[in-house]
Amino acid sequence: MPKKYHISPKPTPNRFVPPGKYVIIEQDQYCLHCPTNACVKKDCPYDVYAERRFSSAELKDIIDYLCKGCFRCIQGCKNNAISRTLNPEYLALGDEYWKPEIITSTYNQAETGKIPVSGAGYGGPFTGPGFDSMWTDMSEIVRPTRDGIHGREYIATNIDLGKKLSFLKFDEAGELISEPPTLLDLPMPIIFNPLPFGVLSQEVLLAQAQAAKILDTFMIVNESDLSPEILRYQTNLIPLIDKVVEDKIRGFVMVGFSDQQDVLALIESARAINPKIVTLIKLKFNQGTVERVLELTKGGADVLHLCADEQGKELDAANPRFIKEMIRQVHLSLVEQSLRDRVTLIVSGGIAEAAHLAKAIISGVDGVAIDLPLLVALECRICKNCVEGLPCPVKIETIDAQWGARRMVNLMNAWHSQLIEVMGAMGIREARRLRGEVGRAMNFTDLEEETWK
Amino acid sequence: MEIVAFCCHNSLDNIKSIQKDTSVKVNLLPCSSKIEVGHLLSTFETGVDAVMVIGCQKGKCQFVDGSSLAKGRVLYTKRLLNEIGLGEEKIEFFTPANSEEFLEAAKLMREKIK
Repeated sequence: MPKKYHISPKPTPNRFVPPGKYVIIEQDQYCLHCPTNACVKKDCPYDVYAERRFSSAELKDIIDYLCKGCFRCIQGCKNNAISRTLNPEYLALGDEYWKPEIITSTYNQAETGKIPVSGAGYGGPFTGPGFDSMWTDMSEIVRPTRDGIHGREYIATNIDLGKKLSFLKFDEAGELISEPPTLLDLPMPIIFNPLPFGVLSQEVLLAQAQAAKILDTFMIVNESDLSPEILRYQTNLIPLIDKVVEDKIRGFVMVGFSDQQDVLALIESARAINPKIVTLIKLKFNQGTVERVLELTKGGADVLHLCADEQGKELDAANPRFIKEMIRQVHLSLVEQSLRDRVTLIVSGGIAEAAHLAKAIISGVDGVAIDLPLLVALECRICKNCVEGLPCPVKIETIDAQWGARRMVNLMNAWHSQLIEVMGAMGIREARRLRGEVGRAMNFTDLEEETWK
Repeated sequence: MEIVAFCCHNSLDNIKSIQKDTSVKVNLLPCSSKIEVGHLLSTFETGVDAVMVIGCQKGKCQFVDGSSLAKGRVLYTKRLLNEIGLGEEKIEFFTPANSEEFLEAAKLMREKIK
């Protein structure tokens, strides 16, 4: 049995009080001044009225964060002096894809490192656009595969980065003459992408690199960000370079290139310098991706990184498709031509929560590259003030690298646990086997079409 | 000079445009009556120079009398500030119709505490 991959989460508190979904408003003109013992505030099961304080750092009452929303005080107040309403600060988080629920749940996971529990029962909706239209199988939830979740059996989340040979060649004496290409073992199907926006100080980059080191994964990094401090984590970095010079690739186990006309020649020259190096090609996920993926795979590419926009939509298209459908198309085209195992596919864009990771792999990629969830782990509100030149409400630039790394590690631990939960429920014990396994999932759009056609 | 504005989110049309005035730290509230006298005094304790409470215009408050309640709390805080010698001009209640009027009010506040 292989050594179990284990991440050790460590509670890492938020620096800023996250906005609660609801706000308590006390209208004291209606207060009947009941005797202290009879006041509903005394009955709060979570003692929020006793524990509330005014945060002088953020100039807000933390009661809205502490409140669990049981409505006891609201229902109990004799003269309806207490009411609740939606918090505008909560509603202002993120956008139509990066919803406030996703962001606050990410804060929670980054703080505790645990799977978020939202309460008993789920009132719906049961389907939605994008990844929400895919339902994963839960058929084995009560069978012994649960043992994998509880640690008695091993559910492997490893994937391989690199290309594989279609067949092996042996000489007449039966000795292997094929030279197997380098395969890197990634313990979790996630690598880190460069952060797309934010006031990114050296500490933020260091936090990302440290987290990559702790998690034993890779971090794609722009060449301009390679400082001596970052280079301390060289074995976990994938620098994006534009030309191949020995100095630029020395010491790295993997290098990346943006897709360009002569990218295959660049890969060949990198291999000429270091035959063991694994290469990654970053492609835009758009109309011409399928043909380009086939071409690059036939040309001998190792890892292809398909980049959609941050909401998981196709680039440069009038009616953009969602990545789920696009991944499927690329995966099936490779399967049809018996090329699927020759290349590793990584996708980025629109991966906002752990379920999206599992669903992207079911759709047909080997792994994902994430960026925004890491930024959210650092308390980013996705308000994009930084893009407009306005100050960051959570001062991301002032973080301590170690704090940031711990938050990212916690988030990845929560995602890893959720991936194991989903795989255990499906009866799959290998993340590599999950790839393209649509038989273990249902697509609401397809079901609807089949039912009503 | 640091000014803090506690703003009812219904009273302003364009939050982003008021955030461009970096001398004012904007705290969004669901209703101006969310802010209590204790919170206003605690805000002064942090060393800010002035506080603006932004409510809805008459008849537009979604909590019916939230805005008038907030105004009453501001007036009470003014009295307390006078008593402790800080001066009542450091806090003001405004009901701007739009973000331009908000920026005007912020300008007025800055001049007042110069």
